[in-house]
Amino acid sequence: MKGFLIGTLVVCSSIFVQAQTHFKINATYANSTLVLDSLYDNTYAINTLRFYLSDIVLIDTNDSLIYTHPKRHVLVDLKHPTSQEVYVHDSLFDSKANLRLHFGIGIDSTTNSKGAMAGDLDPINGMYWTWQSGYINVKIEGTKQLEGKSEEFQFHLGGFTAPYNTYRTITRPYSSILDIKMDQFFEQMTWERLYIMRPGEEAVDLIKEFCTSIHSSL
Amino acid sequence: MEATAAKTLLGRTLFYDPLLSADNTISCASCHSPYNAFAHTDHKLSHGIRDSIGTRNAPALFNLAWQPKLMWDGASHHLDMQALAPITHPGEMAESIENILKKLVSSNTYPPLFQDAYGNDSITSQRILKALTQFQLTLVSSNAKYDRVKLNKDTFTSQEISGYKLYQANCKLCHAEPLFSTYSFKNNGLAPDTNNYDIGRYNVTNDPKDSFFFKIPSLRNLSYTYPYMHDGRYRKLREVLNHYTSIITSNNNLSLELKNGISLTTNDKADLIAFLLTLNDIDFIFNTDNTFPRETLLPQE
Repeated sequence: MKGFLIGTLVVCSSIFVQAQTHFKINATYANSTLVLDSLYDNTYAINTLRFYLSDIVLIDTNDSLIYTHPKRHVLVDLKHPTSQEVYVHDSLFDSKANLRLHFGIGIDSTTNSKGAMAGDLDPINGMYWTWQSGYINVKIEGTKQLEGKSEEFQFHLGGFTAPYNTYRTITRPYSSILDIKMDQFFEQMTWERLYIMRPGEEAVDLIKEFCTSIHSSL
Repeated sequence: MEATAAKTLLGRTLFYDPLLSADNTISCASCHSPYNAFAHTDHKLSHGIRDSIGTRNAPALFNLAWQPKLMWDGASHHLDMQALAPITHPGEMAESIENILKKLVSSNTYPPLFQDAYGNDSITSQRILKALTQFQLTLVSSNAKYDRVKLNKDTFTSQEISGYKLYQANCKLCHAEPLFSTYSFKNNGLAPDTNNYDIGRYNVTNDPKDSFFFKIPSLRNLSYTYPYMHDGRYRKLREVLNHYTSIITSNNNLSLELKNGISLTTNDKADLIAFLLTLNDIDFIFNTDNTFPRETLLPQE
């Protein structure tokens, strides 16, 4: 009897595991997984990469909604690799072919206006500005080698009001891995500054460039 | 105790507790005193931790539920989140929410207060911020002589009536009844302050059209909230009126309402001030529901 129960539990739990899958949002540099604090191209080392994914949905070729992630806002932090894995229900769709993943980068203006929140939106996560209210949508910090000297850079990218609303939505073919190509991000960066820490056109541009650096790994 | 009352008491206790600052010396009430309509009388600029001097005059706190944006420059768009600014500012309370959580969890006072307010004693930043909001929203000033006259429970003197007419002719577009402010942002022609060269709302919006824009303050409780203006440059109401009649600095962003200037005779100014004094709400100032909560912060005495 005991053996039968354990057997049933094992079968059930394996079905449960099979019924779920996840995509991983991964940061890369020159096609390798980015390692925090490692120096790349003798130029950049990233020590913090933290950002929000919002309203994650899967849509099919007819633009029908297939899946909505139960959590509206997910904080991804490269220091916590489990946060990079975003679960989606596999059993709800037969084939992953032709599915598209649609989500926002950052926190939309409505959510920004709701007051104090908990969990991933708790200001304790270091993703909330204090001197001026609003969420930081993407935080990228590290060092840059400049003329033989190591200089810190800090990009705290956010802002939710026009004309500097930085919340953006993106759609990519569904894949179990999405890569944020940080080499591409740095390469196409339109601003040379080391510190961008407030809403403005710099933040708008950098978030756009961050979004275009996100690719499905097919 | 009913949950709303318990949340208000928790928020009031936090508001008066210097535990919110890094060295446990500065509370919200240090710069927002109940007897000054929660402003800081006699200080041009706010004082913070370790004798630091801020850059602006601590604003009065009342009728906050009707203010779409907080702070002189509107940098804060929600009362819950506003508290994070003074708490974490290195020249104000210089503390972190993480550390406040630690202090509250290990105190004897707070776990039961969170229990009463929220049904369990879990202490989170959300609960702290919402309780502070709850208390601050109870700071309603609506029982000045002006309010009683509107309710037909009192009458204006003839001088006050004259002042009321002058107010309606000259002030009401920006300081609209009954809050006595539209709570929008305007450039009122103050010359830039020489200490800080504070550009006001421009710093928040990045829009040069907002240069030297500051929030229009309410005209309620003026007797308790001097000095006036974002930098506290004027100590007396007469100086403020003189600013509007004679010393406005013209500039491209000057509020349209002030483009043609305001003219008032000496008698007009006296009458206008008589009316403004009818906006003092002494019941609000001495409301013991708003003052230091001895029952929670000094329970032994």
